[in-house]
Amino acid sequence: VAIVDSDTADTALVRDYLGRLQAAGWGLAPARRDELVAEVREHIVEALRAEQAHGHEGEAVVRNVLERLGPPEDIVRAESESQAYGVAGAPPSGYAPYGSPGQAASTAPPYGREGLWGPVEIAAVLLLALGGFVLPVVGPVTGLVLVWVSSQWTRTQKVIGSALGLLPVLWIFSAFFFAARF
Amino acid sequence: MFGFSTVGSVGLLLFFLIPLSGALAALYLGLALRGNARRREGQL
Repeated sequence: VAIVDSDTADTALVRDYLGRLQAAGWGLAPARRDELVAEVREHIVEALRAEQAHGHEGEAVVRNVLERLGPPEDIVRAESESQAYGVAGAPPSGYAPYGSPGQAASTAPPYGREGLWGPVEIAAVLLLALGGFVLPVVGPVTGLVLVWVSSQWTRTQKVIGSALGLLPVLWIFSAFFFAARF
Repeated sequence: MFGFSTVGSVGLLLFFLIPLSGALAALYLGLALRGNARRREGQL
């Protein structure tokens, strides 16, 4: 841990990486985000220790370790997708500490940690269901934004939900277009 | 260019279909979330 806690140029890279991870994880539950940052931090420390044991040190080694982890945004994306199904205590599915980054995120098995109906999900569904009557256009659009912000749906479910919400509008514009032509 | 019937029909479609499609999307997402929760329960 001292590797990361010490104050050198190498550790500034690690701190910067963890800071980016923290920032990218704004959409996760705060407890899960802190846990994820701690897990990744621990992996970095282990990897750096392993490199040191082989006599490898320096900024290039740190950069290599961070590159192997992949961009923080990919780790958060994998975590979000695994949470949509989620498994308690499981690491993010696309997150391979020593492997290639960002793999197999969409093949995450059904996992779960927290209740799926949070305030964001409730607001999203209510705005989609009733927003069209109460706040035309703004309501459903806000609902769709909340759907995409939420981590409780898979990407496929978000795409299908958005298509259901938007396709009829496209039909209408298509009808209008054809009516104008003929 | 367009008679009232065309504009009126499109307007009516917009008036009814947009909220309806939103409700349909909400129904799908609600069921999807329930499915996710059931899958989760099956796993734990």
